[in-house]
This record gives sequence, structure tokens and C-alpha cells, in this order.
Amino acid sequence: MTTVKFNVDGKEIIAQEGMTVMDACEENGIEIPKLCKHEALENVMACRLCVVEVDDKRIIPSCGLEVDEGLDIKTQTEKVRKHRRMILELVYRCENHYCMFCESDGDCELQDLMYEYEIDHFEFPRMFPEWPVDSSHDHIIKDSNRCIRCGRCIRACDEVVGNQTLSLGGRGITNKVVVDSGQPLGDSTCTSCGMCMQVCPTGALSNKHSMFKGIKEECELTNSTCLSCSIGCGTDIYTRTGHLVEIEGSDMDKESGGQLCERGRFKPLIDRGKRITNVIYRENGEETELSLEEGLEKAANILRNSNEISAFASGGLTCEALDAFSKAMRAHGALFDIVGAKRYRFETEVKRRINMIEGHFVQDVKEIMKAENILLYDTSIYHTHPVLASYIRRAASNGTTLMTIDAYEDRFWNHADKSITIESPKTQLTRLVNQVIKEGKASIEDLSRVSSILGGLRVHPRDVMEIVNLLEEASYDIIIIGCEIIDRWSLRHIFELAKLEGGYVISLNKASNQYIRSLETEGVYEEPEVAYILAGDEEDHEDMMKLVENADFSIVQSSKNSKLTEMADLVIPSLSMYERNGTTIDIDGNKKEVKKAIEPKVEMKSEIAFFEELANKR
Amino acid sequence: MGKNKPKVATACMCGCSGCHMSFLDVDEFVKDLAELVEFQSSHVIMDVKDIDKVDIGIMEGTITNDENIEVAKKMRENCDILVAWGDCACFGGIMTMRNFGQIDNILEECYVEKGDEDSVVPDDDLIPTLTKKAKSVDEVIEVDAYIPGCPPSAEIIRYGLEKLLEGEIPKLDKDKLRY
Amino acid sequence: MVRKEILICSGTGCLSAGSEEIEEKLMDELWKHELEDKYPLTRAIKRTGCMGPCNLGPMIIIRPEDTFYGNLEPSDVERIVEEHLLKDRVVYDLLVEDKDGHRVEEFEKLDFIEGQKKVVMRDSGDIDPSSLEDYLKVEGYMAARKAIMDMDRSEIIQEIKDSGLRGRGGAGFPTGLKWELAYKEDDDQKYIVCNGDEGDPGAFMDRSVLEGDPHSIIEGMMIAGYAIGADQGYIYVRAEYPLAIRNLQKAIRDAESDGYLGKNIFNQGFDFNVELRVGAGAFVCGEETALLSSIEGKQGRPKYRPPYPVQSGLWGKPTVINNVETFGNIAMIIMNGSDWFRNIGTEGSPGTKVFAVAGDVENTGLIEVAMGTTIREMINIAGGVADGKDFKAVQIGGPAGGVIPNEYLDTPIDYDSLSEAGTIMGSGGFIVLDEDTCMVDVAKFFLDFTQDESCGKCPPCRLGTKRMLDILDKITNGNGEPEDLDKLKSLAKTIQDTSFCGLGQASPNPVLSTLKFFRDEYEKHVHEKTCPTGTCKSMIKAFYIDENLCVTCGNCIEVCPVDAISSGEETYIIDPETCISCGECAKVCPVEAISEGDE
Repeated sequence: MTTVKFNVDGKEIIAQEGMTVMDACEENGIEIPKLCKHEALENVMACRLCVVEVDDKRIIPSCGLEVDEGLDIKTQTEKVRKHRRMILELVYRCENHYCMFCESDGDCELQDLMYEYEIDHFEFPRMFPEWPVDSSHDHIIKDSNRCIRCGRCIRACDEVVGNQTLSLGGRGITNKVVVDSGQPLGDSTCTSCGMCMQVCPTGALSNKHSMFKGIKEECELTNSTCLSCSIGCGTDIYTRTGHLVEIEGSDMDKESGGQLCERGRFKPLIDRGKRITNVIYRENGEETELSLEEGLEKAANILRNSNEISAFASGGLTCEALDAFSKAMRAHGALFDIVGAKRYRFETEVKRRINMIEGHFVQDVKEIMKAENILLYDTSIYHTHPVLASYIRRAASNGTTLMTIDAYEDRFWNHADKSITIESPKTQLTRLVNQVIKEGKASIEDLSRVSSILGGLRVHPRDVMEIVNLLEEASYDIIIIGCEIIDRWSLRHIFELAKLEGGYVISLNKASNQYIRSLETEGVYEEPEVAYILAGDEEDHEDMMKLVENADFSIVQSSKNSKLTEMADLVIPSLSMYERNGTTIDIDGNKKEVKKAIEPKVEMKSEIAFFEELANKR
Repeated sequence: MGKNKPKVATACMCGCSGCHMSFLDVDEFVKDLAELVEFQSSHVIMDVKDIDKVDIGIMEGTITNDENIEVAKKMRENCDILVAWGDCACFGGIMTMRNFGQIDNILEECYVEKGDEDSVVPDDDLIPTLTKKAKSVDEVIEVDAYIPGCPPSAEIIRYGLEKLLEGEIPKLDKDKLRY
Repeated sequence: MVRKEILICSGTGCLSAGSEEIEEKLMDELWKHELEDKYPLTRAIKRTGCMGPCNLGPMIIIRPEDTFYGNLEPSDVERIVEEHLLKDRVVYDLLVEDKDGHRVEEFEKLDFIEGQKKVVMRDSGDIDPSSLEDYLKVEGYMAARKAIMDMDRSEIIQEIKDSGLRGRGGAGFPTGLKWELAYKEDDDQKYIVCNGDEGDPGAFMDRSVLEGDPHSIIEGMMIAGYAIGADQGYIYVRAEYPLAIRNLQKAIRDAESDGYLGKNIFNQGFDFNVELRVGAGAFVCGEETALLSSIEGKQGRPKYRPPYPVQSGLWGKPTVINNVETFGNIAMIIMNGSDWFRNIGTEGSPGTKVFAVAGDVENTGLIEVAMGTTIREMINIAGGVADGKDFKAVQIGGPAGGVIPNEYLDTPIDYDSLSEAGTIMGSGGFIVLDEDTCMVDVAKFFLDFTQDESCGKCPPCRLGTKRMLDILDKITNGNGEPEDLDKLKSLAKTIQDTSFCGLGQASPNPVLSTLKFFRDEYEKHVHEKTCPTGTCKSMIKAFYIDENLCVTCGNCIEVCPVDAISSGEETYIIDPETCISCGECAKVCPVEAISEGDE
């Protein structure tokens, strides 16, 4: 890499060729003010605050200027400071900022710059425009009064989330950020990921659930990993006086963009479920509260005296918790399963049967953004793995051909080049595709033979051929299989397709912690004597509810009240996601740390200790 | 002691007096101040409200009616150095919220629509006339120094006063400036 | 009898003045005299593009004698047919008068036309723009033939470079150099784009070329395409030019049918297609990167440069984007050679420039002159300041330009001299202002336009121009304060230095220029709260009657258009609330008892 030497404020700087002056300065500890630039987003040179004097004559924004040999840059001359002061004042008074009653007071990049440029009064009187406030969204308040039109939210929604919900509308002074074609935010294509809010430098986009709970400076910051799905996004958790204030995505760079989704960012803050603090024992319609010690005894007793025990754990727990639980359950002779593990077991069977090697599986899900074609089976990943969905949308916006196959709606309709709707099992479509690939196109040209198979399944030969052609043309195909596909036939045909065509597979299951790949699990008794459910933060999971219904006696360990806990005979408190320490394995097989952000609000301080004791009482 | 002590006057326009309260937070420094300056008139600290010729004038509050304007002009005439305390005086403050509407409509809504059947918009010679828009002090008179804050903390106020007593115009830098 | 031709100017200006009624009446009259065979439509009666002297419309020229009749009413047509066509007798009272009151018979002899040097407007007003045949008759597509069949690509580029042609959109960038940069790019897809978004208020040069001689633009683009290696061209026309759009569509269709566009043109293996793209009402789309964004289907907002369009333009491909007038010059340069072009105009600015002359002049319309012509000469060609008023200033360059006062009337019109005088060439707007114009109001007008058209992306332009406009509003409403003039200047500096694109960077120019040359007017507005020309209405005070002088004659009451004057016993009284300050009462008062202002 060639380097370039140039001068900044009299100091000589060496920088990589191709860098911007702003980045080179920041690397060397020289701060240049900015409002529209963000490390995860493309530079647009819109705010004009980063202007510097070049060679004593030109005034150029440093975020757009590439380093060049011999440049003479001055970042703090009287002239540029004057320009910056004027722009700051224009922005502050022409829109409608008022620090005294703004939620972002203390957490605002504009305010920080006003302080830095010592603006203690206005040269020009304030305008008093009235801009609309949109609070139609469940989580986000969009207040155009505080908006400085830096465009970060628009770029975040476009470049990082791939959703393109926001854009700039109107000209001149009427310019503002609009949602879709003028819709309220709560009734739009917004995915509620909150990325726009995170990058907003002022209080224009704020979190309804964090407002007025504390400024970041006064909060404790814990860096952890989200356990809502297997992508395992890094989280920055802000807490104050033992309560969650705000959760933001960490890892903010152009690569990952530091995303979170609705489940990771907002759900924990609006959790209104009643916390389970004591053990509850229900017998003959009577409820008694027990201490933790008593509850432990009771549970051990029941387990000891039963034969058919089904143990089922949530997939959103740490490796250590899952380990301890499985050990305890096996000690009592139980069959043990985890949410999402069944699908993984089927996969393993299929892989073995068709002799499929690991080489056909994607090692890093971010590779999605480099694929030439994506074939997506089951678009429900829009809900189950939103950040993965954003990678797909980004790829599609940048030229990747996206084909989706779903039984109902195509949740990627806005980005897909082709949507195929076919009822289950989708395996029929793939089987035909494989057949064509193996036997050649002639095998499908005999329509009469084909239509007897197709009849009633609404698979059109044209769809089959499109998929075949798509895969044949390109060199890098990725096939993504969503969580809804759980039958072995479908999995087999899809894996086979990847093997035939040299494509790469990403196979998703519902477990957040992919420790299920190493932890041994098996199918459990469907009508056991005892069902022990470690629900954690899960609410009313279908399989868990069924087990509890069909069991003679059910033990549910959960953090909060739900239908599940109402049905159980013995309810034991559990830690919540933010009270746990431990590790988790993400979809790429990387081990990530989960750190405790708040002290447990229940008597049980360590689940591991609890399960160890339970194991000992066999 | 005696004749070379700078004279100080303070006034409160349409303000909550929070800046004056914050000033009193300087605690023991008040005793020092009493020896360093002579308060000629002040909003909360003294009974004397009439403004005379002084060296340093301090103003808090937004300008919202013609009485405020009169006081402001009087302050400017009588003070060598004029200091604006607090966000209301420096920027306009909370009172400027009424600038988004028309004052007549606002008065109608408050007194007539939301009042009982006998309620009318007050109209008496004794009541100062409201200005069309609420303004910061420097929109009416010239100000020499600004100490923003809502209210400015006691330390900041003390810093400002100390600077003035040294004969300098206080200018808050980025570590001290807080709205 | 020699076969005559009747040319009817049918540019947008004359159409709105009623040229269609003239045409209809003409056809009625010819029918009446059974002359429809002798004067077949489109053969002998032609609709042409803009002839030039727009204030003389509707107008016709009768060939071959070149007789010009202007300011026609439908009732005049009868006499033209009976006298001129049937009896070969010129109808003198329908001829146009020159400065000295003489009637001018021939079109070419009009002062307005004689002073011009027509290159780009050579055929507009002469040919039927919807006829490829007409274009071919005036050596149409001969230049393209020469370039594509006989010249090398590098030869063509050298010729354009040697000619010294500079971009006529306003920036004046050397066209040959632009083409060469694109030519050098190694890419098998390149584009030619014609910027027809002419947005400056009062500019209509490009409109007239597109309406009156569309093939000349297509020819220019073809030659450019061949030279740089592009096979696709786009003409971006603003939606507010429906006639231009129609004529362009016809021209493209005809050119395609006859093989001037499409595949294997002139059998040389050269493919070239042209498509139209229509704008949607945004001035900012005249800025080249915003225009390209708009063609790509995105919002029209400027993009950062570098990279420049010649390296990475439309869809990231090398793109040459030139103004309509620039393309209008290409064919002539190729046909006549770069030396011929260099002999016109000045060393630094060869060739001609088309101006849309408007404002307080006797004759408004299109004037094409050789570069180097002075401003004074231009105004003379246009017949001088109208109604015998005094000259005050001329505004050149639209919202990005400045004003030239009396002292600089002898400034030659070329890129460098104008920029030294503190203004820019611009795209061709030329507005003459007389002594009754308020210069503060002129600045306000342009700033209002800019604020409306600002794309909103960067604070200096989006907010800064609004702030400047507010200050000007304040000044013209009588609320100006002394600091305001300095505030205007410091705001202007920030906006100029830090705006993202040319629209913002140039937006303070009208203010700075008027402030420089007419500061006294600003000061009168601010300090004395008066508008010397009486334009800023809110500063005009009501009139009042001095009761000591009033003789109650009642003249004033008779002339007051708003009944503001009431009679008392001893004196008459003007109600200041009703008075509109028209001043009519003061004119008729026999004792000069009425004046403006407070008592």
C-alpha cells in the first residue's frame, strides 16, 4: 500500500493512499467537527462542518478530500471556524432545536458542537417553524423539529438495513425526512430495527421507551451479545440504578453496521410481564409459595420418583446454563431437547445420508452480500433472523439476483427478482430442479409426463427452468433455508441441489445459541410423567405448551408470568437474559460472551449452582 | 471598603428566578461578594427594585411585555457592563414556546375557551401589554456577556462574577458552556 | 409569378402571442382568393422556430423578398394577401419602424438582426423544425457525414479543441478537452447527454434552439458520440417545454427512419441512438450531477465531484454532458473548420453567444452576437432602453449572476471580462433594468427563486439563503437595521465557501453584486426607510393633505381610485389606511398641498 505525506496544522502526517483527509487526521488525533459522517455509512459531504483550508486558498470538506502528497491543510483557521459557527447557528435556529426541553439534552452531537464553538447567543433571531412530530410508531418518535437533515438515518436504512424506508422529500427550507411516500412511520415498510435512531446525532429519532431515563454519560455500559437469535449481534447495554435504559448495537463499522432488530433493541425495554420471584406449587387447585430451597427439594423429589421425564430448554440460554441443565436432567434419567435442535438433528442425518461435507456450508453469513445469486427457501427469516434478512436485502439492492420460495407471502417482495409461491412440501419443486440438473433439460420438456406430477401442486415448469438457469449461470450461489422447513425430505433435496450445483448453504434453526451443535439432544417423550421446561425468557412457546399440557406433572422455570407458567404445577424463578454471565455460539460457530448487565432481581443468583444441586439430589 | 467597590444591579424579566436561586447556591461565596461589591438593587436579594447607575448589570428572563422592555432599556442605560444570565435571557428560553402561535389566540384559548362562562381575557391599564413575540434580551438591547444555562450552575455563575470583578468579560468555553 | 414562401414564426413566444390565429386567417384569405394551390401548406406556408425579435410577434417573413411584417393582428392579414401577395405591393404601415422612425422592409435589415452574428441560431426561423427535408436543404447532417465518414475520432476531438469552443451552459469549460478526457477513458459503454433543463428565469435560448432546429442538436450529439466512442445519447428537456419535446420527438423519429440514427450510420459501423428524458420541475436538475441522477431514476440531488462525469457519469460510465447551445455549434465547426470559428469572437472566448434579452428594452428576444461585443452594443441592437428611460443596470447570468452598472457598459461580453467585472456569463440571461427598478428588489427576486429551488441537502444553501432572504424581506418592509448589510455579507461568504454545489455557491451573487454597485439604494432602504424607485410598496407612506394649503377644490377626490379622500369643511382629508400611495391626487392638486409621508 502506498503512503502519502502531507501537512496538517503544521504537523507532518503519513497516511494510506485513498484515505480521506478527515480519516487521516482522526487517526493522528486531530479532531474535525462533523455531523453527517458516520463510520458505518457512506460519506455524503452534506453538513459542510468539516471544511478545512487547503493550501491557504480552497475551502473543501475534509470527508470528501482524498489525501495527496504535499497538501497543506489547516483545520482551525479563523475563517473555517467562522464558517462552522455560522453553519451551526443556521442549523440550530432555522430548525427548531430547544435543548431545555429536549430528551436528547446531554446526548446530542449538535449540542456538543455548539459548546465546542462557544455559541452562547444568536447573531440572528430564531425562526419558529413548526415541523410535524410523528409518534405513530410503537417504539420510535420521529420529530422533524430536531432534525438537521444530515441524512444518516436515510443512509442507515438504505445501506445497512437494506430497507430504503426513509428518504428526503421537499426542496429548500421545506426539505425533511419522509417515510415511504409520506406515510406515518407506524404504518410503513419500517422493520422497527431502530438503526435510524441509533445513528441520529440529535433528538430527531428517539426511543419511546428510553426517553428521560438517563443520559448515556450517567449510565453504566455493558458490552454483551444478544440472545434473541443465532446471529448473536453485539450489544451495548446502558443501565442505571439497576434498570435497563437503552440497548444499542455495537460493532459499528461499514462491514456489519452494528445492527440490532426489534427483538434485541426494543422488546427487553417494554417487557411488562410480571416477574416470577418465588417458587409456586400448585396442587388440587391450591397454590402455595415455597422458598427456593424448598422448591429445589420438591423438584428433586418428583424427578427422583419418575421414569419418563422430558426436559426441554429454550434456545436462548448460555452454553453454561444449557450444560448445567442437561447434566442435571440426565442425572435424573430424562430425555433432553432444546428448541431448534430437532431441525439440526435432521440436517445432520441428511448430510450423512448424501455424504455432504462442511465445504458446502457458508462459514460467515456476511458472505451473503457477496453472492451472485441467492435462493431463499422460506421468507419467514424476515421475522426470525431480521439482521440476516438485511444482508439479503443489501445484496439484492447491489445487484445480486434474489429468488424466493415461500408458501404464503414473499416478505422480500420489494427486493426479490422472482417470487415463487408453492405450498409445502417445497421439496417437490426442488426435486424437479435436481432432476433437471441431473438429467438435463429434456426431462422437463415432456410436459405430459411432468404435469401428472405437477397436477395440483402448482409448480410451473417455467419456475423450475428459471431456477436451473439461475444456478447454472453464476459462480457464487447461496441457498438459504429458513426455520419453517423442518421435514427431512425438503432438506435432503435442497442440500442435494447445493451439492450438484456447487452452491453454498446457510441452514437456519430456531435456537439462538448454536451450542446445540455440540450438546447432545434427542426427541423427548410426548406424554411424559414429568415435563421440566427451562423456559428462561421464552413466552408461550408452542412445543413447550404442548408438553406441559400432555405431561402428568409439569415443572416450568421461567423469568416471568405467562400462559405457560399458569399451566404448570411447579413454577421456579429463572434469571433473565440481562442477568446472565456466560457464552453463546453464533451461527458461524464463533463463541461470543454474554455479560451480566443488571443484578438478578430474584433470590436465585446462579442457575448453574441450582442445577448442580439438582443433579446431586438424584 | 467603601467607594471603589463596583456596584451591581440585577433584574428579572419574565423568568422563573431560577438563575437567581442558582446564584444563591454559591453559598459562602456570598459573604465574600458582599465585601467585594455593593448591590444597588436586585430581584430577590434586596427590597430595592429601582435601578440606578451601576457598574455591572445582570439580567435574567425573557422579554415578553412592554414592562420588560422598559426595565431592559433602563438597565442598559444605567449599567456599564450588562450580563445575560440563563437560557431565557441569552436565547429566549421557555417563554418562546408561545412564538409558535399568535398571542391573541393563545390568550383566547386560555382565558375564554378553557375558562368558565364569566372568564374574559384580562384587559386593564395595570397589565403590561404582551409583545407579539417573546424575545431574548439582545434582541432589544445590547448585551456584553452571556452566561447560558437552565439555570447556570453556581460554579459557572461564580466563575462569571469572578471574571467580571477582575475587569474581564466572561466568555464560557466548551468545558463550562452548558445550556 | 415567382413562387413565394410565407414563414410564420411559431416559437412558444409567438404562439402565445397568437401566431396560430394569424396562420388561420392567412389560410382563410388564401382560400377566399383561390390561392390554395399556389401556396400549399408546408411548402409555401411554413411554421418556423423562433425568428428572434419576440416583442414583434406575431410575425411573418415573405420570401424571396425577405419582407418582414411584425406585431400582426388577424385583421392585417387581409391586406397582406391582397396587396403584397396579389399585387406585389408592400404594406408599409405593417412594416416595423427602426430607431429613427423609418420603416424597414427586409428582415435582415432590422437593427435587431443586422447586429447579430448567427451561428447556433443560423436556421431557426428559417426552416420548418418538424421537417427533416428542410434541414437537409440547409446542409443538414453534412457535418456528421464528414466527421463519421472522412475523419478520425482523434481528428474530430482535435478540431473541437482547436476551435476553442467553451461550454455554453455557463461554466465555460473547454469542450474539446472534455471530449478528450472521455475519449481517453477505456470503457466500452459511454454516453452523450444534452442538458436542456434551462432553468434560469428569463432564459429561453435553449428552448428556441430545441424548438426551432432540433436536428442540429441531434447532429452535434452524433458527432460527439462518434468522437468519444458512445452509442447512446440522452436529451434531458425540462417538462415545461412541450413544444420542444414534441419537435424533438418528431426529429428523432425522422432521423431514425432515414438512417441518421440507429445502427450502422452512413455504413460506417457506427451505432447511435438518442432518447428523450423529461424533467419534473426542479431547477437543481440543471446541475450536471443532479441531472444524471435524475436520468438514472433517482432524486435530483447533486453528487460530490470528483469523480467527474467524464470519468464516471451516467450509471458510472464515462459521460460527456454539454449544453444545448454547445452542441448547436458543433456541426458548423466541423463543416467550416476551427480557424473559421476562431475568427469569430475573442482569443479567450471564440465563437458567438446567444442571449435572451428581456427587461426594459425596446426590443426583446433572442440576440446572437460574436463574443467580444460590448454590453452597450448589445443594448443598442435591442433598440436601447425603452420608453426613453435612463439605463440603470443589466443583469446577466440569472440567479448565479450579477449586475453591470453604467460605468461598465463597455465591458466586452466574454467569459474572462465578465468574470473580472464581478459577474458570470451564465447561460444567456440578459435583463436590462431602467431607472425605475429597485435593485434590492431584484436581489430579492433571485434569492427567492434560489431558496425555492434549493435541493436542501446542505445547510449553507438550504438555510443560509433563507436567512438572506429574510434579511432582504426585512429591508424591503422598512424594518432594516444597519447591521443587516454586514450580516448579508458574512452570510454570503459562508454560503459561497461551503455550499455543496454551484447552485448554493453562486446564490449570493445577485445580492453581493447589487450591494457592491448600488449600496446607496440599500442604505436608503435601511436608514431612511424609503425605496427610491417606489417599488417596495410597504415602505411607501400614505399621502396627506396640508390643511393650511387645501382650497377644497375637489380635484383630488375625483381622481382617487380608492375613495380615500373625504371632504371636511375647511379641508379635505386622506384616510391613511385606505390610501394606496398612487400619487394621482398630488398630481392634480393646484396648490401642491398633497405630499407623501407623515404629517
